[in-house]
Amino acid sequence: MDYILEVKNLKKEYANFTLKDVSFKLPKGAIMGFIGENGAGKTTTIKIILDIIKNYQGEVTIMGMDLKNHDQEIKENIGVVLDDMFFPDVVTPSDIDKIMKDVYQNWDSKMFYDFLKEFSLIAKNQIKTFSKGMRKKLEIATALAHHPKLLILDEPTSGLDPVARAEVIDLFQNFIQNEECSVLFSSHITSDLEHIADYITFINNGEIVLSKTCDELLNNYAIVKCGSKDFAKLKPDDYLKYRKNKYNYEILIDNKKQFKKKYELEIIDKITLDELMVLMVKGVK
Amino acid sequence: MKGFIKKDFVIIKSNFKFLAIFIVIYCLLGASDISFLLPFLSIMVLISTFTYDNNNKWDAYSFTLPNGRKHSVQSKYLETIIVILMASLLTFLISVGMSLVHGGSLDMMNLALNTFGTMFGIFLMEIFMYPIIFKLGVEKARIGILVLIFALVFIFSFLSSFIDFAKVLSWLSFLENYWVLAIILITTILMFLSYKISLKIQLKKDF
Repeated sequence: MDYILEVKNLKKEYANFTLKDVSFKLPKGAIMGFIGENGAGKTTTIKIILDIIKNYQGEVTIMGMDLKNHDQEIKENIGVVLDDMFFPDVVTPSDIDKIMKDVYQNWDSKMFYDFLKEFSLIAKNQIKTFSKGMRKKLEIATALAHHPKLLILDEPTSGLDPVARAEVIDLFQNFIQNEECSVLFSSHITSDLEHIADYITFINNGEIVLSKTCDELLNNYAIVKCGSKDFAKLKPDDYLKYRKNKYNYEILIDNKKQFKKKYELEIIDKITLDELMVLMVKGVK
Repeated sequence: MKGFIKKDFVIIKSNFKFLAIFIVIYCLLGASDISFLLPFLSIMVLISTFTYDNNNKWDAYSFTLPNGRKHSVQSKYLETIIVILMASLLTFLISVGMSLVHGGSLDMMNLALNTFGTMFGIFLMEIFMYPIIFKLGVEKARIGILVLIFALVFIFSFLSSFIDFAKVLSWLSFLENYWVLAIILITTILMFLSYKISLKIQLKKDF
C-alpha cells in the first residue's frame, strides 16, 4: 500500500505533557479521523507534522520525503486548516489571493474565487467582519486552492452549522476522489468522522491507543451491557475496558463475533466514536 | 517573500490613514520640526504588524507555508528598510515645504542632517528590537526592550567612571570627513547581524 503520510515514534516532552512514541500511517486516497479528548496530543502531533514544532524526536515522512530534509517541497503540497491560526483580521479574501499567488507555485486564483462564490464569501470584506463559520470556510478555500496532495485539518468543522458542515464534508470527499489525495482530520464532532473517515486514529494522554480502518472498528468493536452477576463471569482477556454505571456495566470489546459465541449477553452492535472514546478514556480494566 | 511583504503592507495601509491625519494636524498646529515624527510613527506602524501577526497567530500559520520561517524574517527587515527610507524622505520634503510656507530661512544642510540622524537612530532601534521581538513575541518583548535599555544605561554609566569618552571620540577624529559613510557601514553591518540572529531564532522556534 502507498502511504502519503507516515509518522514514526514521535516524542515531544513538555513540563506537564509528553507525546510518547506516536506512530501511524495514512494511505493515499483516504481520510483519517484523528480523535482524542482535549489535551490528548492531537494538536501537538499535527504541529510536528506541519513543522510548527521543530524540536522533537522521531520521523515524519510525507509523499515519501523526510520532513526534516524536504520541508519546502512538502509544504507546497500540503493544505492546512488550523484552529484559530490564520491571516491577520484586516486582510480580505481578495488580499489573500494576491498574497498566496506569491507564496505557492500552484496557487489557482480561479479555484479560490470559485470557492468564495460557493461559500457566499465577499472578496472585498475584511476577515474581521466574517462570522466564525465564514472564517472557517475561507480557511478551507485557502487550504484547497493550491491543489495540495494532503490536507491537514485541525477542527475544520467547528463553528459551522449542519448545512455548512455537510457542504465541507462533501468537499473533502471530492478531494480524495482521484485516489492520490488524502485528508488527516482532527475533530471533536465525531459524527462528521463517522460519515467520511476511512481510518480512525485515537490518541489518549500522548499515546496512540488505536489506529484502524473504520470498517474494522465497526465490525469488531462493540459495547456490551450487563449486570454485575454477568460481568463477574467475563474473563478480563475478552474485553478491553469496562465502566460501572448506576444500574449496569458497559463493556468495550474488540472481538464481537467470538464474544457472541462465548457469552450470551446483550451486545449493542453499532458503536459510536463518542462511546468508544468515553470507554477508552474513562473505562478501567 | 513577496507574499509576506504584501500581507504586511495590507496591515500598514490600514494604519497609514491614521498616520497621515496625525501628520496633517501636527503641521496645521504650526509645529516646525517634524524630523523625528514621521520615522517614529512609521516604527509604531511596523511594530503593529507584529501585533496583528501575534493576535491572529499568523506566525504559527506562516510556518506551514513554503519557506515560511525564513520569509517571515526577511520580509520584516526589508519592509523596515523601505518604510524608514520612505518616511525619512517624506519627512525631509515636508520639512522643506513647511519652511517655505512659514517663510523662514531654509537651511537645507541642517534639515538633511536632522533627517539623516533620526533615520539612523530609528534603524538602530529596530536592529536591537527585532531579535528580541522574534524571540519573545511582541508583548513580552516590551519588557525585554526595557531591560535592555536599563542594562545599556547601567553599563554605559559604569564604564564612564573608567573611560574618558571625550578621548575616545578624539581618537575617532580621523573619521571627520567620512562619518556619513562610517554610519551607513556600521548600520548595515549591525542590520545584517541583527537579521542573522532573528533568522536563527525563527528557524528554531516552536509554537
